[in-house]
Amino acid sequence: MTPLEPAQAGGAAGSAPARRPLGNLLWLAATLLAVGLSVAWLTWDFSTLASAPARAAAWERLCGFTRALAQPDLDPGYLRLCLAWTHETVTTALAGTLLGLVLGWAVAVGASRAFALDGAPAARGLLPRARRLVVRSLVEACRLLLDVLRGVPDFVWAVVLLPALGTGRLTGTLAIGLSVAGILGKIFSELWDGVPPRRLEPVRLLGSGRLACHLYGTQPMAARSMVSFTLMRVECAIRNASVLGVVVGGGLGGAIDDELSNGDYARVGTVVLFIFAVTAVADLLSNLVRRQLRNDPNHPRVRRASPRAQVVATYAGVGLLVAMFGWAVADHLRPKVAANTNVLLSSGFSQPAVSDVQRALDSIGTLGEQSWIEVVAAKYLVPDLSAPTVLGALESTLTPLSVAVVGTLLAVLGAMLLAWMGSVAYQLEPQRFTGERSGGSSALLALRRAGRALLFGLGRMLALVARSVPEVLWAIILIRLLSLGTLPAILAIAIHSSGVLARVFTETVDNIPYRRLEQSSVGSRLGSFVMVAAPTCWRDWMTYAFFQFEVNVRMGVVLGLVGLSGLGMAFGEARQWAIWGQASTLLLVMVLLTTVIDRIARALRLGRGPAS
Amino acid sequence: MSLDPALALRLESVSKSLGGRTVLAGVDLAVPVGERVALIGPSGAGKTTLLRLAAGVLAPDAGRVTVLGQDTAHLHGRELKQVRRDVGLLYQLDNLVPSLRVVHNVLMGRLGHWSAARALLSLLIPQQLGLARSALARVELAHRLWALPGELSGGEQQRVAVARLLVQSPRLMLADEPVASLDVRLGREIIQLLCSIAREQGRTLLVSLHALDLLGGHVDRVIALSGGTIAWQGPPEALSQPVLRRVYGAEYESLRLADVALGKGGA
Repeated sequence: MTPLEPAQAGGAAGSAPARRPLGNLLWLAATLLAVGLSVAWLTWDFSTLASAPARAAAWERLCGFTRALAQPDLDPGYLRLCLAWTHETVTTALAGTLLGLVLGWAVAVGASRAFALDGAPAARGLLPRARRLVVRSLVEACRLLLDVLRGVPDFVWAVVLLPALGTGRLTGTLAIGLSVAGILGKIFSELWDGVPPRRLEPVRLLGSGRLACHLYGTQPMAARSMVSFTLMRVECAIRNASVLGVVVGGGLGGAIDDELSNGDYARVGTVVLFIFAVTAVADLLSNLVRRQLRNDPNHPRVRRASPRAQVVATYAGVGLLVAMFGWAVADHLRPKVAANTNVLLSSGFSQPAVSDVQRALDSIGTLGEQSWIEVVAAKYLVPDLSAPTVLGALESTLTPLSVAVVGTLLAVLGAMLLAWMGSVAYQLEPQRFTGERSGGSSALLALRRAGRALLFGLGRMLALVARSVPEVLWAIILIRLLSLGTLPAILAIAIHSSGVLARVFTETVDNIPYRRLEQSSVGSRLGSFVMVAAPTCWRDWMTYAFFQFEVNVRMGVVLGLVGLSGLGMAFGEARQWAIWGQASTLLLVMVLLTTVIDRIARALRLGRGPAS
Repeated sequence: MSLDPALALRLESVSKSLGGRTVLAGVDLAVPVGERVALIGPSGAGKTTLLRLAAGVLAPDAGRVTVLGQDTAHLHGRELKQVRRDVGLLYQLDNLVPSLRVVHNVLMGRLGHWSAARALLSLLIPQQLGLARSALARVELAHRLWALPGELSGGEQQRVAVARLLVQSPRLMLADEPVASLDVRLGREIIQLLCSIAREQGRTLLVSLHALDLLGGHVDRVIALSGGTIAWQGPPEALSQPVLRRVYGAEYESLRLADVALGKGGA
């Protein structure tokens, strides 16, 4: 901060509002209105909670389920099967992310104005202008492609690919890859475009070309954020891969669906524990890595490694990444017997060992009377644009939208609570800015600190469990407990998102330098959190929350495939009854939905800021 | 002795090391209620550390710090709350939360009296608005009630922070280089404002300063820190060039202290 001259200060006076701005109240009113409309639109069914016997039955189901979770089926054969599925989940997620990374990167290069247009001023003359026009339309085309890839959720991609590739693992890998490509492509291009041109000037002045400028300027400045976002994608891919089977069959997710139908809760317990273990480990590992990436010199607990150690760590990290991706790809190419329940039952038969890729290729070749390519070209690509279909499709977006609105709002409230509970600054070391200390021995203070540590552990654990169990899993469990309807979907989204948001909310809170909290810790810790920490982080929180809202709208569509009415269910039914025109229209609407939300976020400037 | 009600702050042979370096070594200091004290000395002399010890945010390695009758080595629960409420802090930078409007930054001074629920409500509907208005009027910024800190100049931001002190109405005000990032004229205004508030309300003020020309006439006592000990103390009129040369050492020339006009006619 530099001292301003009085003249400048006078100049600023005109821009300051003299009257009370109503922005906050307007936002609050708009939010309440959106929630009110959503609640009014959704059909609520509280029959499982309305009467005392129904409540007792629901409670009984909950207890039964909890008991089963506590006593999972530990039969060695079943454990081996679960382990095979877990292995499948991890390799699917990794190979899918790799595919998404490569594809997304390639399209992002085209979608980035910084790269494609080179930030050069508009040249005069007809030819350069025409060239510029072509390049610009290419950029727009790439962005549209990213919107399509991103707008269709991975679960829906899996449903689309299913008839062609069969229930093999490649379906999941491709579905995740396409979706990840859309998300990473958008993020990468935005990060590159977010690098201020002024900071690229030194590289450009050296006479470097477009590619060199990208490699030595844009790319290094965005790298940290890119790695961080990619890691989050890996985590998300592992979570989704673990439950893809709920929709397309097979794997851990398929097993859950089967065992829930069989009523074998002990086995459900086993599978849930496996899913939780693999997602929680991925979550904690990625946390660990992302913490190393943090480069904020103001961070209260920043640790500085020697440059040599940093280089070594970078090489080790990249090496590990390459090894992991290589392992996942090799696993797809290695011939083996399919791991599914039937194999266990029919272990007497010898099945030919084929690789996943080969199996998918075989599947394409043997698709009955029509090849899948024909189906796609002739059916999926010809949307039914008659008024009733289009209107119906548009109306069907209201359910996932409403579910996302209510679910995200609940999640934000939950995440703020969890951020308070899980904040290192406020729970573990508030003495560093409040000056609290016991001096000698104070039993009361020791007790109070133990209580805070307990609250901290509880907050962190709740957040971890909430986000490690995927929405789809929360949903199918809650559907069993509360019956089909809106409530399980909203709760599933709210619980999972509150865990996801709690992590980033806590990170932003703990990034505040303690000096800032010092001056304003006049009152209680909670008062300081409300008045200082929350407002300081508010903008970041809202950016994350809006991003999560967009994710949740897509998740609302996906939950349609497991019972929520609306867009997802309509698509599932259209696919099932082979009404291709309608299915195609619904896919278009999905893309439209995501794109519109994205553009609104940009207009409200809630998007991701420049690379930090 | 340490519970002497006439003392706002007392340091008894206080030592403090930070990062392996001794910052304060055996400092003894007693500040009676209502006294206005300026803390001077070269950078690294321990001014900031002394203020942070006085605020109770840091604990001494040896010795005892007593703030408003409370030993800071035993601050927790109700005593901690009382001290936090009665000790006001003003720093050189970052006094305000940039994302909060001036009104909320000023009302933050009431946090010690509000419940967390009321603090939350205040962010939507500012509570005790009249208090904020009159405090801002006192620092001549009434028209900036609804501005964001980023829209204000550096001097205005510091005055908003002073308005927060007014709302908090602490018994002990600690200001760490509050004007170091301002030009001399704005800096003098802020110091005058702080000192007159302290005088009118009978509050104790401890302010560390870099610009010595701001001293004149406003404070009762000057304390010069050097190398972690009190090198000199006395009324501002008694401050002389030889004292400055001894206290500031190598920095004497670079700060052009020889040109500083001392004493009453400092302005």
